[in-house]
Order: sequence, then C-alpha cells, then structure tokens
Amino acid sequence: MEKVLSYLPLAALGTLFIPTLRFVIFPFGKRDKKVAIQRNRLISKVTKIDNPPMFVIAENETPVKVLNSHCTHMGCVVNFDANAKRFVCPCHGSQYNIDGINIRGPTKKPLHSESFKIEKDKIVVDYRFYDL
Amino acid sequence: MIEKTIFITSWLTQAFFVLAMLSGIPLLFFYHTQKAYDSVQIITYLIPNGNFIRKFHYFSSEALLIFALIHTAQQLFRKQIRISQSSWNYAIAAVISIILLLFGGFVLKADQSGHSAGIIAIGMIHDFGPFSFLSHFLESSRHYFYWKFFLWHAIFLPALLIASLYFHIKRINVPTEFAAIAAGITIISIFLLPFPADIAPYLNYTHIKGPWFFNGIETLLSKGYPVFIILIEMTIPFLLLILYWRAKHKTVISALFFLWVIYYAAIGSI
Repeated sequence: MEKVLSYLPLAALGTLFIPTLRFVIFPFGKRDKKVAIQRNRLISKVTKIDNPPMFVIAENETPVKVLNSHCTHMGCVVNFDANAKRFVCPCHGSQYNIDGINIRGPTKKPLHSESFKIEKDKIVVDYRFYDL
Repeated sequence: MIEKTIFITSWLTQAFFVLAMLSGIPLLFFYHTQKAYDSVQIITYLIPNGNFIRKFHYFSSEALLIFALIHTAQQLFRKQIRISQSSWNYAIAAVISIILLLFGGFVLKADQSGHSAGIIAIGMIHDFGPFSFLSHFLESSRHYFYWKFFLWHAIFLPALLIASLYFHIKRINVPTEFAAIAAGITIISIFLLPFPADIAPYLNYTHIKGPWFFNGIETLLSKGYPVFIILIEMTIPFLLLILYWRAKHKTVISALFFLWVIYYAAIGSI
C-alpha cells in the first residue's frame, strides 16, 4: 500500500501531461480567412499577392482564378516564370502550368484553387489554411 | 595521434559552442519574430557592429558543427571507447542538438531560403506518419511563423546541448588558449569566407537551397522520395552510433557509418 502511495505524486504529474500537451500543440491562428484585393492591382494576367501568398489569374482585367502559392509538394511559395508561363517552385523544382496543374517535378497534386467573389472594385478571396 | 588530438577537438568544440552562444545573446536583443526578416536586416545594416556579430555567430556555429563531427569521427577510429555508454549517448544527443540548432538559425534569418526551410521542416514532420503531431511543436500561424523556431533555437536546444555536453564530459571546460584559437579561427573566417546572402522575400528567385548539411535531404526531396523513407534514412547514422558502443565488431559499424557519410555527401553534391 505504501509503495502504491509513493507513486501518487508521479501519477498526479502524469495527469498534467495530456492537458499541457493539448495546450502546447493547440493550432492557434491556423484558420481560414477572407482577403480583399483591390481590382486595380490586377495589372497583368498573373498578379502575385504576397500576404497571404497567392496568384490571381485575370483575363481582360476580370479575375478568373485564384491559386494558393504554396507548392503542394513541401509547401514552399512558388514563383511565376512569365517567359515560360509556369509556376515554378524554387525549392525542389515542381512546375505548374498557368491553370495550376502540376506538369513537372516531385509534386503529385495541382496548386490549390481558392474560391472568391467579385464585389464592385475588389475581389474577396476565401483563403484556406492547408496542412503542409 | 588520435588519442592526443581527440582532446583538442573536444576543447575546440566546447570553445566554439561558448562563442556561438555568447555571440547569439546580443542578437536576441534586436530579433523580432513577427518582423523577422526586417529585424535581421536592421541587425545587419543599421546597428553598429551588427553585421560583425551576426557573422561571428554564423561562423562560430558552423565551426561548432564541423568540430563536433570531426570529434565524433575521431572516436570511430579509436581502438576502444573510454567513456561509459550513457556518456556516449549524451554525445550523440549533443551532435543532434547542434545540427538542429544550426538548422533553427538558418530558418530564423527569415529570408526566402530560411522561410522555405521552415515550411519544409514542418511539412516533413507532418508527413512522418504517426509522428505528424510533432509538427505542432514548430508550426504556428503565418503571423507568428518564427516564434516556435525561435523558442527552440534560443532556449530549448541550447539547454539540451548544455545538458548533453555536461553529462557527456561531466563538466564544460574551455581552456583559455583554445577559446583564443576558436575566436581567431572565427574572425579569420569572417574576413576570408563568403557569408551567404539573404534572399529578400519579394524576389522572384529561381532556386533556393537549404543549409549545406541538409543538401542530401534536398536532393532526395527533389527526386520525389517519400518523406517517411528520407527521415528513416537520416536516422541511420545515429542508430549506428548508438549501436557502436555495444558492438563487438566496431570496425563494421564504423565502416557502415562512413559509407553512409560518403553516400550522403554524394547525393548532396548532385
């Protein structure tokens, strides 16, 4: 009995472990958000938005697609190569065409496409937080 | 020869560790995790001697890793191990801490390569099957991206390294002459060796690289190897080191270890 009781402080500490772990790993701030972009920023077919990272694809100054800039391989932010008309990941060389479809490199998935709506002089993007 | 030089590399490793730690403390005063890149640029270009202290921290840390690896390699050439198994295991923990510390420092410079390295690290842990929950120990929102890396780099890993070193050699002892030699090597490196440039976040950069000691991992990722396989491969040298102390045929374990090093260097140079 005495031996069992001697383990009580350890057991008490043990009960704190799971609540503490849940506290530490809580994904605070990892949530989707709406991002408004002024339409007058869409000066070319592909416009890069830095924060949060995405590309707005426009035709005749009308947005047709919004692509999340995170590479679907390891999550690096891809760049747009205007000459080759491709999105290229600078980390491991994954490449996507202008529609965001993966065409080369280690990635096996296309770029994530974000939903959006046009409101007068701005577009509002439902920016999603993806697990990397 | 090895018996004499193994103490020299031990003292130098400790000396570089002390220098890296001391030069990191002033950087803490001006590093802001929410404006990480800007604060690094302010340290480098606006604050008097900031560039020097940053370089000193960088080169002493690089030397710390190099001498720790040399010290480990020397041990594998010795005829017998003269330390206890627990002391040996603490040495392995120290080497792992040093690698992770340097990686953390690479991320915290917060330029394109640092930011990408951080994202890749989180992504790799996330893809590591049952251990994916560990990614929460690094991952935070975009606004606080560097905060957990900062905690690891400035608090947890240095504490782990100090503890590992202490239990490995039962004291942390840096003879003055070795501290002076280490400081000299660091200062000469500052003036003679190239310091990697920061890649501004808005630049359309075509190819960015991780730290040199992760080149092999980068190559394997570029070739599309599954993360799980890569991480298993990376544990091999440490498993071999753990086995080494007990192994009857130490030469075989040493040979396997150095074969792995050659393999890793080869894929890293692709």
